This record gives sequence, C-alpha cells and structure tokens, in this order.
Amino acid sequence: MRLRDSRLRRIFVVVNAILLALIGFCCLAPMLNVLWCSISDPIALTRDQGFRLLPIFPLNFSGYETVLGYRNIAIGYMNTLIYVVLGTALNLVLTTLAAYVLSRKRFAPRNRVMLFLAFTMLFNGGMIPNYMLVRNLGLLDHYAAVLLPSAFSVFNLVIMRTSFAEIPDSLEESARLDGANELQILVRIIIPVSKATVAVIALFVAIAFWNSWFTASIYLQDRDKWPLQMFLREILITTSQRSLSSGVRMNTVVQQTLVKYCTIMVATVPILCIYPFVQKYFVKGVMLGSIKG
Amino acid sequence: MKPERILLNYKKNKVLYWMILPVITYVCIFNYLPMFGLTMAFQNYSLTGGIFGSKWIWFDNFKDFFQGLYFQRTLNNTLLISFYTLLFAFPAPIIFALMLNEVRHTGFKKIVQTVSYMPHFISMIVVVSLINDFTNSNGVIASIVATLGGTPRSYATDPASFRTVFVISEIWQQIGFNSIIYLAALSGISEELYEAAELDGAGRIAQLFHVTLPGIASTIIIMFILRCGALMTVNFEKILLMYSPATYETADVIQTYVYRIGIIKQKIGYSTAVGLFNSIISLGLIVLANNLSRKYTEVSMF
Amino acid sequence: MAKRVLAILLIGLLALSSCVALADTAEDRDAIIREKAKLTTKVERLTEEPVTLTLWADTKNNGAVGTLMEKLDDMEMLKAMEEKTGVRIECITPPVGEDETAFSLMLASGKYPDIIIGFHNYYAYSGDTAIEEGIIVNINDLLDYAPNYKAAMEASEFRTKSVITDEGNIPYIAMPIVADEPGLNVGGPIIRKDLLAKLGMDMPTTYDELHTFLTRCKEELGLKRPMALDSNGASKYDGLTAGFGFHLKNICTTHAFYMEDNKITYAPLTDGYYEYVSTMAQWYSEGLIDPDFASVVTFDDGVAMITSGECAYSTDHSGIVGMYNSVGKTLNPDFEFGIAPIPVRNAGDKVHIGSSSGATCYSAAAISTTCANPELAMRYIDQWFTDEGFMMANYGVEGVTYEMVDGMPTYTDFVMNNPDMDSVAILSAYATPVTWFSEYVGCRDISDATREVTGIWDEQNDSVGVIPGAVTLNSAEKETYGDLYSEISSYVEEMTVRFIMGLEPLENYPTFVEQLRALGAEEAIGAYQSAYDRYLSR
Repeated sequence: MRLRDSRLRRIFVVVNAILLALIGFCCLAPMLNVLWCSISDPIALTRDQGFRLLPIFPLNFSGYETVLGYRNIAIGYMNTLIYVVLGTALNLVLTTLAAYVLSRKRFAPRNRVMLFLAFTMLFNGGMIPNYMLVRNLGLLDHYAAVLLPSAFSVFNLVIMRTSFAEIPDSLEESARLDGANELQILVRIIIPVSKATVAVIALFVAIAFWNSWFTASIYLQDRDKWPLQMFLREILITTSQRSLSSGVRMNTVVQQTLVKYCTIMVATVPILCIYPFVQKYFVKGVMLGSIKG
Repeated sequence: MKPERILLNYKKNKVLYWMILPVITYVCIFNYLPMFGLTMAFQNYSLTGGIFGSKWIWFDNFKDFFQGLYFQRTLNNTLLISFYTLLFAFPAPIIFALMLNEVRHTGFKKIVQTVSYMPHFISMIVVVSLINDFTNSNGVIASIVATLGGTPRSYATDPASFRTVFVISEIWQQIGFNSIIYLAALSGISEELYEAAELDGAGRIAQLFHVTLPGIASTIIIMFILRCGALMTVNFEKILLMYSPATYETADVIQTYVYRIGIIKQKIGYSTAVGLFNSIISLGLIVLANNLSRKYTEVSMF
Repeated sequence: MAKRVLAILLIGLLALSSCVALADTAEDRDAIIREKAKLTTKVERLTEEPVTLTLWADTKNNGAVGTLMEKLDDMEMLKAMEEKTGVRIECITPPVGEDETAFSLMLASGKYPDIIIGFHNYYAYSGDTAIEEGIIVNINDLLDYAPNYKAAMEASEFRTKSVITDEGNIPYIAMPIVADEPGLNVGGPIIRKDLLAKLGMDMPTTYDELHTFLTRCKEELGLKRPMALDSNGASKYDGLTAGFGFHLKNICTTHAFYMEDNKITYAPLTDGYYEYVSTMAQWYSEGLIDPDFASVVTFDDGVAMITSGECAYSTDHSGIVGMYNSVGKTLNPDFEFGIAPIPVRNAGDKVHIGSSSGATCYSAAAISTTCANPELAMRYIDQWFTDEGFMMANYGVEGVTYEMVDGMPTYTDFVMNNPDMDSVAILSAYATPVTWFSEYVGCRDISDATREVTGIWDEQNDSVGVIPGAVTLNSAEKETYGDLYSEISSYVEEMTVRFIMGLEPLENYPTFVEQLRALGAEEAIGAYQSAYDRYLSR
C-alpha cells in the first residue's frame, strides 16, 4: 500500500475507473455494432442507418450464408494463411540466425555487420525502386513477391539480438563442452531460453502479414494469389458507384449492407478469438524486452 | 579491421559466418540493391530503356517537384499529419498506461486491457471501412451532430475533418497495444522509490512527476525517436484507403503522391525523385531527434 | 454564309457517317442479322489438345460479375466456345475500381496477358506506339489467320478506314457494329415520377424547373439527397452537363474533347463548364445534391441509396430503371423511376452532344507480344466473327436468352423483362459483354418499350458535336496528348469536386483555367485538332 485513502483519492479512483470503462467501451463498441448489424434484418438495416447497441429483429443469418459461400473469401483465407505461416517461418529463421551470430562476442566483425544492417533502418530506396527490384527479379505474380520483401526486418533483429546477448555465457560454454555445434546451441539452448522474445517477434510478424495488402496490390495481378485483405478491400472499400450499378439482383441489393457487415465479421472473428489467449505472451515478451531498454 | 584478422576469425568460426550469410545476402538484395535504383531519380526513366538506356536529366525531376503544383501541399500534409499524430496519438497510450496503473482491482484492469487491445488486431481495411461508415452523412458522427443541434454533413469527403478523423482513428487503434510497453516499464519502477518519496512528503501528483515519469522516461524517449523515424512515411497505406480527390488538399502526403504518380501514372523517374526527397528528410529527422536526445538526456538509439 | 452552311452540313454528315456502318435503316440491319442467323459459317475446332489463353478485361461496366457469375471465366459463351474450339480462356480481372492502376502495373511488369480487352481505353499513347514499344502485335501480320474478321472489316470502307492507322498498322481488333440507329442514346437523366405526381409538377425540362423540383423534394418531402452526382462531379452519360453545351464523358471516348464549329474544344476551358460548375456549387450549398457524392465509398452502393428512396433524380443507363423500380417497390409501393429529358437552359434547346451508341467503338482487343501463340489467339478471335460466333456473342443460348421468331433471333422475356437484372447484365453472362470482340448488334440492350421512352433523348440530341470515332491521333500527337492529359484530367477532376462542394471559392475559377493552360491544355487540343484535320483530308 503506497497511499492513504483520502476522499480525493477515492474520487480520483472512481473517475479513473469510469474513464477507463469509457475507453474500453469505445474500443469495443464499433465491433459490437458490426456484430449486431450482421445479424439484423436487412431491410430495416438499409433504412435506418446508425449505431446499434442491439440487433434489429427479426434476426437474419442469410448474410453469413452468402459470405461463407463466396469462393473468394475461401481463396483469400487460404492465401493469407500461406503468407502468414511461410512469412513468419522465414522471418524467424533469418532473424534467429543473424541474432545468434551477432550476439556472439567471438564473431569479430559483429559491430561492423550490425552497422551495415542498421543503416537500412534509416534509409531505403523507396516504393518505386523496390517495385522495380521485384519486377526485375521476375517475382511479379508469385507468392514470393509478397513473402520476400517482408522476409526480414532489422528492427526485429535488434530486439532479438539484445535478448540473445543477455543469456549468460555459461550456458553456451557448457553446451560446447558437451560437444554441441553452433546450430545445436542455437536451437537447443538459446531459443528455448528466449522463448518469450521469439514468440513476441513471431506474433508481430504474423500480424503484419495478416494485415498486409499493399504489397499484394502492386505485385499480384493474379487473383488466385490474393490475400484475404485484398478481397476485403474490393468488397468493403472500392465497391463504389462504379461497379455494380447495373444488373444487381434484387435481394442482393437489399442485402448489400448486411453482406458487408457479415464479411467484416468473417474476416476478423478468427483473430479476435485468438488474441486474448496470446496476449499474455506478448505482454511478457515486451516486458522483458523493454527492461533491457 | 585487417583482412588477416578476419580470415583468422573466419577459420575459427566458420559456421558463424555461414549462418549469417543468408541475412547479409537478403539485405544486400532487398535493401541495398534498390538504393542503386535511386539513380532513376536523376533520369527521364523509361521502362523499355532501362537504367542504361534512359536519358540523364540530373536534377530536373526534383526541380519539377519543387516548383510543381503539389510540392507545398504534400510536404505540408506530411508534416502536419505527422505532427498531429505525434502530439495526440503519442501521449495517449502513455496516459492510458498511467491510468491503468492506478487500478488495483485486477479483474477490471484485465478486462479493460484485453478490450483495449482489440482495435490493434483489426485489419486496416476493416478499420477504414468502419471509419467510412461513421463519417458519411448518414453515420454516427452526423447523427450525434444533429442531436446536438448542428448541421450534419459528410465528414468522409470533408478535407477539414480529414486530419482529425485520421488521428482519432490512430489513437483508437493503438492506445491499448502501445500501452503495453509503458505498463511494462511502469512495473519496473521499484516500490522503494515511491515509499521514499512518500516519506519525503510528496503527494500523488508530485510522485507522478518525480518518480513515475522519470522512471519510464528512457522508454518514452526511445519510442519517440522511433516514431520520428516513421514521421515521413506517416502510415500512408491508411491514407491511401481513406482519401479521395475531394480530400487531397489535406490528405495527400508525399508517399501517396509517389504512389499515384509512380505506380498509377508510371512516371518512374519523377516519382523516384520525390521518394528520394522523402527518404532524405526522414533520415535527417531521425538523426536530429537522436542527437538532440543524446545531448539533453543522454538517452539515444545510436 | 454558304460556306458555313456547307461546313455544318459536312460535320453533320460526318457525324452521321460515323454512326452508320453498313445499313441505313433498321430493316437493313435486320436483314443482315437474319442472314447471319442462317449460320453459314461455323465455329471450327482449333486444336486437339486443350490450350489456354489468358485474357485481361475489366469488369467496370459488367453488372453480371459478382451477381450472376463469380468471375468472368464463368461466362456461358466462353465455356461454349471452349467446347467447340478446344481453347480455354483464363480471365484476369483488375480489382474493382482499380482498373487504371492494374493496367499500369500490367504494362510495367513486362509480362502481358495474351489478349487484352479495352487496351486503347487505358493506354495513354497511340496504337502505333504500342506496336513500336513491343507491347502489342500488329494485327496486319495476322490477318491471314482471320478470314472471317477480315471479311467483316472489309465489308465497308468506313470500317476498313477505322482500324488502319496512318502508319499502316492495325493495332487493335475492332468491334464493328452491325448497324445502328444514329443518335440512339442509352443513358441520361432519370427521375422519380411518383414524386413528380405527388408534388403536382410536370416533367422538368430546364435547369430552373429541375431546381424547383429538387428544392420542393427537399423541403416538402424531406429528401436528404434529392440529386445524385458521380464522384468526379460529372454525371453519367452527360445527362446533366450536356445542356450546358459540352460533354465530359462518352461511352467509347473517355475525355472531354468535343467539336464546336469544326474545331476541337476542351470542355473545362469553356464558359459552359463554368456555368455548370457554378450551378452545381449553388445547388450543393442548398443541400440539393447528395452530400457524400465525392467519397470513394458511398454509405452503400449507389443503388442502395437510390432504392432506399432518398434520391429523386439521377443519371444512368436506361435499362436500369426497371431494376431500380422492382427493388424500390419492396420498400415503398409507390416508388417509380422514369426517363427524364436532358435539362437545357431554355425550353426547346437542342443538345449537341449526347451519348450516342451510334459512334463506332474503335477497338475491342489487342494481342500482346508475350502471347506464346499469336496465330492461335487470332484464329480464336476470328471464330467470334463467324455466323455462329456472332449468334453466340450477341444472343446467347437459344431457348434461354433468345428464340427464333420468323427467322429472326429475338430476345426472350428472361432478358428483356427480368425483374431482377437488367438486360445488359444478363447478356453479359449468357452471351458476351458489350465491349468484347465480335460483330455487335447495336441495340441489344434496348427493348421496344425502352426505345419508345429513350426517344426523348434522341429527339433532343442532334449529335453535332461528337468527334467521329475514326479520328485517331498519330504517334507524335498521342505522345503530346498522353503526357499532358493524365495530369490535366486529374487536376480537373479534383478542382471540379472542390468547386462544387464549396471547398474552393468560385472566384478562383479563372486561376483554375490559367492553371489548365499552364499544364498544357492548349497543346493537347492542338494535338487533337491536327488529328482531326488529317481525318478530314483522308
């Protein structure tokens, strides 16, 4: 207990709690709105715009039927999974290798190499030269076009290197005495000890790949390789006056808004379900990382 | 370092050198190679001609940009949006963390925290779609304005509202997640410091300024420097999704301009020049922030 | 004086001649179709083992994608053609609304799809340049593989002239129209007739009358968005702008150049444009225009906005009225949209530029140089020009979308009177979309009932200002034009929206015009003018 309970203090605590609850509500409300809208009656939905705290009855699940039957959503999900899994794996491999080497004092050029790598955080070629590079490497319209340019980040490397460097040398030495080679030390000793940091970085990378759409938009013409976000963008954002202004089926028109909300739910619910469980890992990991400064 | 020493080091630690080779190769190809592409900025680049077949016009591209219609606007918007983001969206997680820190009821604290992380995990596309819903003339904002007696209009196409909407959405999305690191730092401040301060007669507010804030100061500064580095890129992907010709006046930043001119209009040389300008300013800012910080607070990234 | 009359006659004749391809009357046209229905030439098998060709096409005006079919590959006729020829088509479609970007990216990638539809719509330079740069193939070299197409193009001198550039190349495969009725307008203003009746008003014919109608809709009926506007500040099919004497967009051309007194003019530089912008700005400030019109996304589709009853006036394709009505009636039984005349300044004024489907669409497709088998691609396209291909492309599936009545293929009710979709969309799914390669039946989308009604637009329009589709820019001109035009048009779009929304005060309009000149508008006009002069002398 580091304070006395004065009246002022109690008022402060109450006000603080109210404000926090309000912030929490604001964070939650938009998605809640989407949830209720997605199961509301479509005709009423089109008629009364506005925020909902509760769904409009009668409940209507037809929006979900439509969206889940929509082939593109399935394709998008599959591709996003590919990008997330492969992309995270690629990142982890490259980052752990480099972090390990750069954290070993016996690696003589470590500071030089670190500088060489760190400089890229300060300066890069920019959007257009990067595009030209991907084009000239012949990667356009391949999965690699999305995976490779984001396969490694120096920022993550710095975090992981710091974490690896903290590990006492004794662990490594005893492993060497047991006859382990570099890779074995890395995989059997270093990574398990730094589990939290590795998990955090894996999480950051996975989320980045989950959300990414821009690289796909300029590098992928082939719709079969599009991540989910690209289809979402088409459905949610660029469906403007231009597109379906003719030939739209009657029930589709009325369902338009409903389908939009259902699409958002279908695309976001998985991640919303996962994140509460994973949060303890990244909280711990960030804590460890931050204490190093 | 002399090459002989490296050779010796290599012989003793061969595997290490091989282990780091993939990363070095990667960085050479994907980070340094494009830098050579910056030469396009000085050319009237044509796709069929390539680097060696295109005409060299040296600084003409830059001149066109500086004297052009859009220089002032894009630079202004880039700096203003970054500045407002820094001013409002940077402190928000800190304040939030401080507020959370005062809560002793762990259940309530956990719930608020968990809920506050949610916006961070929602993808940018969905967030922008939600923003559009809110800000068009039929949306929530308009109905609130109407009930308060004002005249509702479309905020989605209103350049005057763009920056506000953008910054608020940034705060909404990041307030929870970005507070994690500050909470972590807060938990690192030892209890004894607080007790000592209390013994010295310091009230809550004094404790805040003399114990809490200094305790997380280094974290704040490092985060700040990192933010400065991202100043010029300013989350342009989100702007790309949010803006429209009606709002270009306040929304068009340098990166979105590069996208329009480079990717859509295919003016490769010119857009590379603009992008180069952007990168140089960015570099300058981060160095400035770092050095200032080192001078005055002894905390710096490099 | 006589000279002037002659000039006007000449222009009129040229305009008309640009409309007439092979036939002068509807009977001639029907005769040609009957002849084709006899199926003298048939589709032939091209290959024993299945071959795949890639095809790039936008779905901008294709109402069938996303509703009747999930992607272009599902088109009935593509599948039918595949069965007959053995050639499979794999469609590449750009993201909705991002056609320009996707095209640029495609060009930049250096790997082009085998067949590209609408190439000339997006390519900033001339067909000759595209051939020179090695992007597309000179069709001239492939004509031997396309006897049917060759015959179709040689059927009239007009057609032949249209496709050959001044340098003797044939960059594109054209989409010739069988015959058409000059001045057939397919799009224009539409109005809520039930609201007119409710207010006891006659059909508005002038801008002032329209203004009254909209104001009353807002004040007496409480409509929030009395009039809809396109997101670039213009109106589809020039429904709103034509009355001021200029046009901004057309079906086949995408730029604001038109003809006045034998000279090419650029709309934003004219007084008429200022009148339009200031009128719209005035109306916007009065709350008569949809406040969200400029956003990339409306709160829903533009359709939902209209069918929810908030909008009383818009401009659109005439075929969509039926669809709006059937949807709108579910929410409001009185809901009824109908065709409205193009508003003019003074009652009885003629409109000189309308959207006329009479103008021949210059090109449909191009074959790229990265196509592995251009001869096969050409032969495939040629199949669509056989009689059988013609029937498939225009009429679709016998028994479903058409029936033979007295030897004349006639669209069924499924196409013409479908409550769920409009005819263009249905045909896009069962036959081929309007802008694809085949000899095209000009008025496939208009039923007799609609033709009666769209006659209103035809009466008003004398099409004098339309630039003949056969006027083409040569390489040098296209280069000037291409370089300047994209920047000018984006500037115009942005400023138009700003003026209308009141973000830019109208006093600054002269600066706007000056800036246009500084950006090179006059030179762009000059390029077009010299192309036109050359066309005249051809």
